[in-house]
Amino acid sequence: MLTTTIAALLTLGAMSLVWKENIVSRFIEHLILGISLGYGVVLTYRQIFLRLFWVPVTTDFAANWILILPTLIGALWLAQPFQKVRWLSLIPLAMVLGAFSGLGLERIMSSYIIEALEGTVKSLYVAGDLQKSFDHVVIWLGVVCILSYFYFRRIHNPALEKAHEYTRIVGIWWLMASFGVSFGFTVMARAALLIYRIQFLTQDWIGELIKIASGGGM
Amino acid sequence: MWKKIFTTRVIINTVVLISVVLGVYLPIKITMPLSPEVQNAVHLIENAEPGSTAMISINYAGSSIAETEPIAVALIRLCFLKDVNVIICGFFPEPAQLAEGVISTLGKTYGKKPGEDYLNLGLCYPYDAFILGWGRDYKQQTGSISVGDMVHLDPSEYTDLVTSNPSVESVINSIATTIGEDRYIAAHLLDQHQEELGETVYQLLKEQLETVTRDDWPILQPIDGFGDLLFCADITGTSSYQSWIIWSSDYRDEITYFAGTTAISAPEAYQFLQAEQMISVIPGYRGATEIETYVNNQYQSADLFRKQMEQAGFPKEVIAAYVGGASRGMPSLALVHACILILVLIGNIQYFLNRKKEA
Repeated sequence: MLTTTIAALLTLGAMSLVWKENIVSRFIEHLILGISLGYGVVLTYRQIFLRLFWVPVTTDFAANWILILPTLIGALWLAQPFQKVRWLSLIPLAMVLGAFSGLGLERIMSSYIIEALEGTVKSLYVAGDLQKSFDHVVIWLGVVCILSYFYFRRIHNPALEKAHEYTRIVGIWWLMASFGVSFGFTVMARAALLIYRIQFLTQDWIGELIKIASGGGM
Repeated sequence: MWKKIFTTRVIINTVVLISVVLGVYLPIKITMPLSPEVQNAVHLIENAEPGSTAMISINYAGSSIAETEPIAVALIRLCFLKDVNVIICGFFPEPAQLAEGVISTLGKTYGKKPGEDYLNLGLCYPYDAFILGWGRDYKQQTGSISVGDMVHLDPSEYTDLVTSNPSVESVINSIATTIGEDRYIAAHLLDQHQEELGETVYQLLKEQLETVTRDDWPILQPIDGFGDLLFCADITGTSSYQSWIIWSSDYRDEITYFAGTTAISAPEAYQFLQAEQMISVIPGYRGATEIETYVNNQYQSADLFRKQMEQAGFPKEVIAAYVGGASRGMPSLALVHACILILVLIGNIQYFLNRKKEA
């Protein structure tokens, strides 16, 4: 019950920020940052350094000595604060960027551009599936109108200019609709976090306190 | 003075707070039917052959647990109720630990055996290598540090050991809880506590550690790569779901993939759904509620689930977190949305009235 009470008080302290910034909320902010960082360092040390390097090497050196090489290269990152040897940190940076680019470039292109294009440029009419056909029309219309809004702002052809007037408006509406969806989802996410804490305060904390006060035991 | 205290910000926050609290206490029940973007995943599990295997990577941490853990619970529950085996993994240190809690709790509740019906691969880092490796036939990988050396130890053997050696219970338990980590760590712990354990127990544990390897686990026997998995899913509070899309792109025809995301990430995830790079998006609380409601209605009511958890010996705080974790918050969520809508309307009316006045 003591830990629940501390957690509840910290929650209330953090929530006091909605009234205005105060010393309690700032203290809790710093506390969370400190704990998260400390926890993260310990967890990373234990799960990455110890588990993936130190214990394998010290337990079975013959099978795992090769791990020393990437670890030493990785350790060159630590040269960053020292002006004279800072260039050494470029070696692991180059290796990481090189490996990531080599492995990832084609896959990122394929996932973010090619497949996304394939998903956009679809037949407007899908036989026997009106819903899908409608979806595809909506996507086409949205893409064309939003592109026209961003990329064709200075057209010097009167007919196209007139058409652009309309597509621009539709494009803005499409954008507003998508921002609205994002906003709705953001409200849902933030509310979910609040609900989680309120449930904790009302049920786990106040509920238990009432039980204890009424002799329900701890 | 009142004007200073009751600023717009304070009023809005108070209204939101009141609606959340009301939602917690008012006896409103909101059930959600499966939305099209969620039902593909649910139907996939429903129509699966009993004994097929799914892989779920859990990548949420404390800051997003409110939305994402209910997705994990609902999804794994459905898998277990349909006899689908589950392999769990995590791409980051903290989620990997949270994953163990979810899978072991539900595994125990449904009487599932670790290694046979479920397996926690623990921290699978670096995740890009892990995903690429699984696609390529992970059994052929030599020197893989992500998948290669994971080991699970049978809890029933530990129970026997603990019963016969109560004085070393904590040491044995600490070794037992290295489930999800690798044999080096377990061996390291074992060596550290050799004297405390005594020769017999030490040898018993050591023998098991040395003889049990990844490939011994029945759950992994029929699996060579993504093609042998029913589906892969990522339940995440970050953009790690996109890592699956990128790094498994070579195997797009083999892999069936979907993601459970926070509500904030969901709009971005829909584009991948549209491009058929995944089959489903489970968006935060709402998605979790849909699956939870469906499972409760079709397979096992919330009361039965609660009873089963009680029988498995879980404390009431754990049961409260798992039973109805998502649908319990829906009334509050609905009220908050209604309040925000009304506030947006009021704001807009005010804006247009002011504009008219200025004109």
